[in-house]
Amino acid sequence: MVELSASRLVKEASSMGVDEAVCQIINEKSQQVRFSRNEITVAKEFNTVNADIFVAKGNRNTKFTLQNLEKIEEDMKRAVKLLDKMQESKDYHGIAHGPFEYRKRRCDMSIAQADAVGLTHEAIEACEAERIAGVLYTRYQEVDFASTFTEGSDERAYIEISCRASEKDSSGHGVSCSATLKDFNGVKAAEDASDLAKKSHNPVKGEEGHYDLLFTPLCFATLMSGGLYSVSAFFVDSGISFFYGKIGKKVASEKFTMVNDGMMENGIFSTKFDKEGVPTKRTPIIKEGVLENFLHNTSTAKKFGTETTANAGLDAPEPQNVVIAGGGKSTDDLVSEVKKGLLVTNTWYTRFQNFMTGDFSTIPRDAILKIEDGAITGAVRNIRISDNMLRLLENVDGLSRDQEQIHWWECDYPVFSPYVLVKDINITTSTK
Amino acid sequence: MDENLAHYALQQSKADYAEARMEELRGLQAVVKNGNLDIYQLASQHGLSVRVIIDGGLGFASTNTLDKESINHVVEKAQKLARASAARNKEKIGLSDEKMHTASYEIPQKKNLEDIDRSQELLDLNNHLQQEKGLVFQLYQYTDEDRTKYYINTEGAEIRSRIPRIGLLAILTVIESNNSEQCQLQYGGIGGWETFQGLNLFERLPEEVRVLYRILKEGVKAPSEPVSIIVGPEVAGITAHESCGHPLEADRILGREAAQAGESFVNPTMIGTTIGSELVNIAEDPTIEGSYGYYLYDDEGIKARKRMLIKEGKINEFLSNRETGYALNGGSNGAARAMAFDREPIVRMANTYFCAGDYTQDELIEETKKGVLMKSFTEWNIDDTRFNQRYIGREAYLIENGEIGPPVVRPILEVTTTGFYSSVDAVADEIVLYAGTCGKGDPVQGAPTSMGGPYMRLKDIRLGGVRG
Repeated sequence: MVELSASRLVKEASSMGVDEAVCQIINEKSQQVRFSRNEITVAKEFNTVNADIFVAKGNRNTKFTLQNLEKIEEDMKRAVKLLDKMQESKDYHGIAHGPFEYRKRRCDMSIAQADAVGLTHEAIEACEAERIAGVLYTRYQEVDFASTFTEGSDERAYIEISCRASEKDSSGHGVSCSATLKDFNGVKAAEDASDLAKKSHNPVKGEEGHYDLLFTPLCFATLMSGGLYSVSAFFVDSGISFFYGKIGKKVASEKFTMVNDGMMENGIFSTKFDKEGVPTKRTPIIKEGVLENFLHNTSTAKKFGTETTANAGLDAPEPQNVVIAGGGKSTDDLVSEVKKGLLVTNTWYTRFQNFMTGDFSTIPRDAILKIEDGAITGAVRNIRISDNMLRLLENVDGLSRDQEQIHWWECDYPVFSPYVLVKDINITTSTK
Repeated sequence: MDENLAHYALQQSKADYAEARMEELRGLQAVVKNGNLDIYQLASQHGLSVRVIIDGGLGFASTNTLDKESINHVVEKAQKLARASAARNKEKIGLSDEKMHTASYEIPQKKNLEDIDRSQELLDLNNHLQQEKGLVFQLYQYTDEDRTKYYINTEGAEIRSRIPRIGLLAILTVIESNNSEQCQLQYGGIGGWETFQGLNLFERLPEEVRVLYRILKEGVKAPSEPVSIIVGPEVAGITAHESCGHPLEADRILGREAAQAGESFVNPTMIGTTIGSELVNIAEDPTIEGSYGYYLYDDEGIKARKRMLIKEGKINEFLSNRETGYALNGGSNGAARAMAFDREPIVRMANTYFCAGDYTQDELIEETKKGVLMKSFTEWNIDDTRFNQRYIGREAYLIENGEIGPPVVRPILEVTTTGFYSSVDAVADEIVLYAGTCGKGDPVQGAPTSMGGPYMRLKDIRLGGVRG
C-alpha cells in the first residue's frame, strides 16, 4: 500500500516545475442497500481511495484522477511532461492563493458504522402500501487536501434513503437525507411514500390545459436540480443556461429566493472548502426574484469580473447545498388558494429543447392529486409539464414556511425546498 | 493487471456462488469551449469487486487497493452483507443455470489514441465551424478510454476483454435575430483514433449548424391536423431504446429499479402480446462489429447474442441477466453489464434498433400527401413505465404532395408506445445506428449503447401535443 499525502504530492509536482498544483485524496467507504418488492435485493460496500491532482504551468493545465495508486509517480510525470506541449487555456486564471483558515465542522462518525441492512429493514417494515422499493446509502469520506498555497483536511458523512411505495394503480415517493444518524428517519420516508400511494388510488387520465401546480418539496427540488447547471458560470459561458445575460435582472417572482450554502450544518454536501481550498460560504443566487450571482471558481470569477463563490470544481463550478427560502404559508393555506390545480409529488426526466431559452418538459410520477376549489378531489395520471423554466419561476405565487432536504437518484444536488405554488402552467398529454 | 488477485478472492470465498471482476482503465476527457481548451483530464483507474450469494442473499463489495488484505476485507464484507440480507428476506435470490465459457477478445486500435494530439483535433474542429452563420457557442466534450476486464466465477467462467472506446458530445448554439436554436449531438464508437476520423465530423457538424440556421430563418409551424409522420433513423432509434428496450428489461418488469429508473408497462405474462403493427420488428444485438454498445460476453460470463424483442408487432423476448433469468424461469440472454469495477452487473441494452422493411426512403416521401419528415430530435422524455413519450423534432420538414418543403420548427411527437407502434404503416430498407449513453442503475451507470433503425412512416398523428 502506497502511503499517500496530498502535501507531499503537491511538493513533488512543484519540484517538477509546475507553477500551481492541487491534490485532493479522498478515502471513501460507502454502504448501499437496495430493496424492491419488500425484500433486500443487494447489499454493498464500496471502498475507494481516489487522488484528484491538478497541475498548471502558465496557462496550460491538466487534471488527472487516479485510482491506480501504484502508478501515481508515473502518471504525475506524464501529466507534467504533457503540460509543455499542450495548448494554452485563455480562460484559466490560476487557483485561489490563500492561505485560508477553515472552521471546524462536525462529522457524525456513527454513520460509517450504521447497520445499513437493519435500517433498511425497518423502513421496509414501516411500509403500509402493497410494496416498497428503494435504496439506502451511508457515505463516509476522509479528505486530505493541499494546493501550492494552502492545506486542509475534512471528514464528511451522510445517510439517505429514497423509497417508493406502490399500490395496484398508484405510488408515492419519500426520502430522508441527513448529516447525522439521529436526524435520519427512514421509517418516516417509507410512511410518507405509503401515504401518498394510498391517497392516489383510482387515478383518471389527466387532461391537457393550464393549471396551478402545487409542488411538494421533493417534486420542486427534483425539478430545480434538473436546471442547476444554469447557475454554474462555466455553463453560462457555454450558452447552456437560461440565465445567460440576466445578472441583475428579474428572473423569477419576487417571492422566490434561492441560495447556495456550502457550510450549513445539516447539508449533506457541506464541506469546509471547495476544490481550490477556498472556505465554503453562503451565496445568494436569486434574491427576491433578481438574479444576483452565478457560482464561480477563481478562473470563471476572473472572466466574469467578480469573486469566487467557493464553488470550484476546478473545471465547472458546482453547487453544494441549494436552499429555496420558505414563505409564510402552511401547506393547507397553499392548497386552499388553488381553484383548478394539481398537487404534484414527484417528477423525472426534465429535458430542455434549448438550454438558453429554458423551454422544457418534465414528467410527474407517483401521486398527482387534483385540487378543485381549495380541496383535493381525486388523483390523475399520464400528464406532462410542458412549459418554460423562466416563466415557471416568474409564476411562483406562494411558498410554505418549512423546507425539506431532498437528494435522490433524480436530484443530483441536495436542495432544501418548501412546498411551492406556481400559477398557470401548461400540461400536455399524449395525442394517440 | 494481476489476475491472480481475482483467483485469490474466489479462493477466500465461502459463498454458495462467487464472482470476481477486475478492471483497468486509462482514458482522457477533454473539453473545448468556444475555441478554448477548458478541461484536459486524464484518468487512470483499476479495482476489483466481488459478488456473492449466500442462502439466497446477494452481497457485493469493491476496492481499488489491490492487495491481499483489502481483498480479504471485501470478500468478508460481501459475504457478511449477503448473510444479513438473506436473514431479512422471505424469498431467495438465485442465478439461472447457464453454460460457462472461457474466452478472450480485444478490439485493436489501428491509430493509437495516446499518439494523437486529441485536444488539438478538437480545437481544429471548433475552428472549422467558426465561420458558420449564426453559430455563437460551441462546446465539445471528448472522452476516450481503453478498458481491460477480467472476470471469473465459481462455476468456471473466465473472460478477458479489452475495448477502447471514444465518444464526443457537441452542444452548438445558433442565434439569429434574438432567437436561438440548439443541438446536442452525440457520437461514439470502439477502436482507436481511426474510429473518430470515421465519424466525418468536419462534414457533419457544419451541416447541423446550417440546419439550425435555416430553421431560424425559414421555419414554419407544424400542421395542427393529423398527418403522416416520417421519422428518421435517429428518431426511430431513440424510440426503440426508450419505449421498447427499456420496458422489456426484465429487472424493471420485476420492480428492481422501481424507485429509480422506474418500472414497465409490460408484465411477465405479456410475451406474445401485440403492441404494434405487423411491420414493427425490434432487435437488440451486442455483437454488431464496430458498434458503440459492443461486447461478446456479458459481465456474468454469458455469451452475447442477438435478441428479437418485438417480432411482427408482438412482444417476443425480454432482456435478462442471470438473476432475472432465474426469477422468471427463462434464463439469461447475456444482457448483464457493469460500467466499472465497483458497479454490479444489471440488465442493460447494447444496440437496439427497428429492423428494416422493404420501402426506399424516397418511396416513403413520394407516397405522402401531407406530413412531416422528422429526421432528428432535440428534447425527449418518457414516463417511468415507458408508455407516454415525447420527441421534439430538431431537423424536420413539411411534406406536401410527395415533396419535401420548408423546415418545421420543433414539431412535437407526443404519443403512447402502442400509439406509436400501431401507427407504423411503412418501413424503409436501410438501418443507421447512433451512439448514446443510457443511464440506469443506482449508483447510475452510464452505458455506451447505440440505437437506430430505418426511416419509418406513422399514419394519422397529431403533432404538437395536446396544448392547453
